[in-house]
Amino acid sequence: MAAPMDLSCWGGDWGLPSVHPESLIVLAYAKFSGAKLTAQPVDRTWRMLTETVPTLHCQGSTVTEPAQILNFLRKQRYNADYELSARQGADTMAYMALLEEKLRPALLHAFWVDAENYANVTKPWFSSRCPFPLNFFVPGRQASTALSLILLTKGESPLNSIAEVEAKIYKEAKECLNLLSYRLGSSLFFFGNTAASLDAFVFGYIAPLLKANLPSSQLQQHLKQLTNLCHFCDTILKTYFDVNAPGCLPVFSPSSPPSPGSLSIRQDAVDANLQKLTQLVNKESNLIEKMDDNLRSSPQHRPRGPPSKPSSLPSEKNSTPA
Amino acid sequence: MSVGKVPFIHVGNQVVSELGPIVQFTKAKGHSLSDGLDDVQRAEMKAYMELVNNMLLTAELYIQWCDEATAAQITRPRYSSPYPWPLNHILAYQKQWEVRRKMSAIGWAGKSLEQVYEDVSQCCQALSQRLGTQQYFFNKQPTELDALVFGHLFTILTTQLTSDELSDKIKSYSNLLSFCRRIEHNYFQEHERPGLDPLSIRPSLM
Repeated sequence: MAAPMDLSCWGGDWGLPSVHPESLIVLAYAKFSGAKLTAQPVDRTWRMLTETVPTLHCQGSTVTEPAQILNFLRKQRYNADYELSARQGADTMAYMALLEEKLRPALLHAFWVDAENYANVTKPWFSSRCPFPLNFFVPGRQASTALSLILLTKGESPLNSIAEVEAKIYKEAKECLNLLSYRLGSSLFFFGNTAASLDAFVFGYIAPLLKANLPSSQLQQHLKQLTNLCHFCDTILKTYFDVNAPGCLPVFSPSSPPSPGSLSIRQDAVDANLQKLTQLVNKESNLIEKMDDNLRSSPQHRPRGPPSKPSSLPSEKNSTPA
Repeated sequence: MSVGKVPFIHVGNQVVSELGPIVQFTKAKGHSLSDGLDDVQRAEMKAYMELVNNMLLTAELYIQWCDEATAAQITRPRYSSPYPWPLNHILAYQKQWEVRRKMSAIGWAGKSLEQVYEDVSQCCQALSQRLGTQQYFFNKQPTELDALVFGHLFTILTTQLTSDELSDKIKSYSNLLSFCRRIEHNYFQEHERPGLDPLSIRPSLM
């Protein structure tokens, strides 16, 4: 009887078991190798402050970092790479390095540094999952860690600004996605018909990019054009994760009661949707106010009559001469 | 160098530095080593080049700057040798601070020297598996990957450090060792003047 293993990870949304790439990698590998992990989301607990995520707890030992966790699982005889040849094992290491160097900086940028995405998607999501008062500083801390990682590894000197490296990291990320697409070709997984650790890493990195509703992302547009990679993600989700409800964590352990847990998760999904709707409405009304201000201050389009209400603004704009 | 990066090439009034841009530049001029590769092979080549950059380059930087013994005895004196006092101390410590900051950002600051040697060994094992019994990594002609691997391995093999453990790790992979010897013999020895030792053609570590 294998020892029980607990994984601290971030929770799920957008049809994924977890929105955090590193957590997703470990969850995917566990599914591929048949390891029985109990996912313990750090959402709404203070553990997000005390623990690095993801962390595996097993019989008193603690392992962090996806690569270390995968090594640990292999030692526990949960080995998804068993059928790979030595050459394929070497290829795995090489492609993992490619992902880490070329794709990860752009992913971090798209979620944590790009102002629009951060304000509209990432920060609301993480703030809503943090208990008070962590919601004020945990997302910000993660964003600044992401920024300094990008600048230190990709910037020419630590004093560079992010704008100078942006173009470079997105170009490299698009190239990396193209290379992955060439390598995958028309097969189901990267090494034949069984999923291995490389598949877990690729899935972990590209699934959040594919599924999140990012308002501004050239990288997401690029990924959507690579249909074999999108198909790869969907295949893994369908085959290994039971994604019936949005934001549903996969049921790993029979001991965890499914109904109250999944009910509260569905409620979270509804809350998240409501929050997104509220943001959209706020954005719209901000835009309308801005348009109103512009029109009032612009000399050519000074209103002839009494000032009109913002809701009738579109008709007033249409009636003014061009 | 405080401005720009080595290596760089000077062509007419253009200066191109670092391996990636130099390769692009020569490709634009019509000389490319990887034209004969198909898309999948090119993907593999890029992946292995990233592996070398990720593991070997980072390990070299770690050993030079984060291992206090090596930094104090070898790296800092060597890095600061062209400059007068007090510039030599300032620049050496500034570089060390920069490198250590980068190491902690990518998660290598917590690693011990043994773990770094182990990572280098794993990387060499992957390269050795990929090379197998072939002469070069892709068919019979060298590509950018061969140049990159040669550069790093040759440097590690010929640089004197406080301990020989790193070069011993590489020597344990006989096909990598013969790969380095083959390239050195085929491409460098015809330009070698008598009395000049291989250390003089090693690329700069800075």
